Amino acid sequence: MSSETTLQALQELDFTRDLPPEQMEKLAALAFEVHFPENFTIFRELEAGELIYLIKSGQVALFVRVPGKGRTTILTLGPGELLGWSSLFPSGRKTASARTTTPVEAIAFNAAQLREAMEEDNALCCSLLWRVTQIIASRLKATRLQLLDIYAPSQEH
Amino acid sequence: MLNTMTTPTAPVPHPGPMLTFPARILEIKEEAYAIATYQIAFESEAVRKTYRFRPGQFNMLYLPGIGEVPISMSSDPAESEVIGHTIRYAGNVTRAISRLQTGDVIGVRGPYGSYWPMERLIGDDLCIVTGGIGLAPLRPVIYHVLRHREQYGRVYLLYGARTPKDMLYTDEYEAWKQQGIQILLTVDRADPSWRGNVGVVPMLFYQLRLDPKKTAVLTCGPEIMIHFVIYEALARRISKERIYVSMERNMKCGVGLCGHCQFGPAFVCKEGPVFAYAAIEPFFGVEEF
Ligand SMILES: Cc1cc2nc3c(=O)[nH]c(=O)nc-3n(C[C@H](O)[C@H](O)[C@H](O)COP(=O)(O)OP(=O)(O)OC[C@H]3O[C@@H](n4cnc5c(N)ncnc54)[C@H](O)[C@@H]3O)c2cc1C
Repeated sequence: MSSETTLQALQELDFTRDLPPEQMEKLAALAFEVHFPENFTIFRELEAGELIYLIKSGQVALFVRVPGKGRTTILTLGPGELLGWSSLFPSGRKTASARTTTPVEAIAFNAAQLREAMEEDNALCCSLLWRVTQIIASRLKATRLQLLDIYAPSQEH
Repeated sequence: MLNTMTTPTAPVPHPGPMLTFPARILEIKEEAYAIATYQIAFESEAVRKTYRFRPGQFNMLYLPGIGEVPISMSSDPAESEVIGHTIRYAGNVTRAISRLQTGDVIGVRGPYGSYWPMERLIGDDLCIVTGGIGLAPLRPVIYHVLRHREQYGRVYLLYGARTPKDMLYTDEYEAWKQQGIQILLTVDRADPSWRGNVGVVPMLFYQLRLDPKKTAVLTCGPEIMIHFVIYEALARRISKERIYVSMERNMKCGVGLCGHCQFGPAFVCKEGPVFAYAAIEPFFGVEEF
């Protein structure tokens, strides 16, 4: 994919849409497009995993293996969402496995290259960390809500 | 003082909202575990013909010797001779309702409450965000939109339930989709057959590209869910005036007398249950309220 079409794709994704042009161009130069078929395992839990993805279309299920229960889907991610953020951190092993439930188009980044670019450019680093933090905060809130089991039938029933 | 400018107030369409009229159960449909929809019709033809409700309003359902509960209408407001109520069996009164059968008679007074401002939203994109039994008071909105499809822009239904089996009205989704409602479903706990989303309903916002100036959010569900929905809506720059919530707080009298459902300076039963978020923001999420 040419960097021009990558740039266009990044301009359309919520995660990157508001980045200043020079940061967008830097990212576009690092990005490449990937396609996965349905039922494809993108990465596995505890793998070091070198890539981070922004999903353009399709759906990915994140699952963990729970002893006695088997594979348990904890979250699905769709268009516009960030997949595999834990690789952004140097020791980052994947915290869940990711498998496509539909064909998926995504924009991929090599985590080491991305880290390098962030180390060189403080403004880019700040923009990306800010966005990743917001996503992690949202997922933390969502996890709390999921834990609360808010739709459970009343205890008395 | 509650900002009534942003909250639609209730019409009083038929003469005796304080009076309880007998209504017969015509049909009971199991929807999910401990949830069923009751189709009822007033015994009196005069009441049946004059009774009207707006999407989001509720009736007080009365069982002699047991008690009375507020329950939203979940049916098509354009067909108000037969009224649908989707009821989750929670406690005393609703469990007594669960023992009723087709042909039994209950007492009904209403309609009460403010409603979703469908006229004001003409021309807008609608984002209906709900969880669990919260879809019940929003189904009349969907019926209204389907009858006036050309009056609204893009319409999304974001719906979450505990498991796939807990989803309401699943047999209607296909028809809704065909008539231009985009439906995103999610569950907290998936079973192996589930191919949809897993996660809580506010996370579905990430899959949408909303135009904040044109989009109104209509939400109902557990209060804590509403909280997160508002957070995600505001994060997308949708203004407080364009976020509408239905607060289904426990209430007793239904007419603003007993104070059971007080919410800040407002009574849910009288000024609610549907509020513009801008009007209730100071009290929202504050424990004592
Ligand atoms: C405006 C409005 C519209 C409503 N619409 C519907 C509807 O369409 N379908 C439906 O199933 N229910 C609806 N409710 C909730 C319903 O009124 C209550 O579940 C019912 O009053 C409980 O009465 P009960 O005697 O069966 O239970 P109770 O014995 O009074 O209570 C049983 C348990 O349910 C809890 N509870 C009671 N009321 C509520 C409430 N409002 N919210 C959360 N928990 C509650 C109690 O704290 C207790 O733990 C609505 C409530 C309001 C205020």
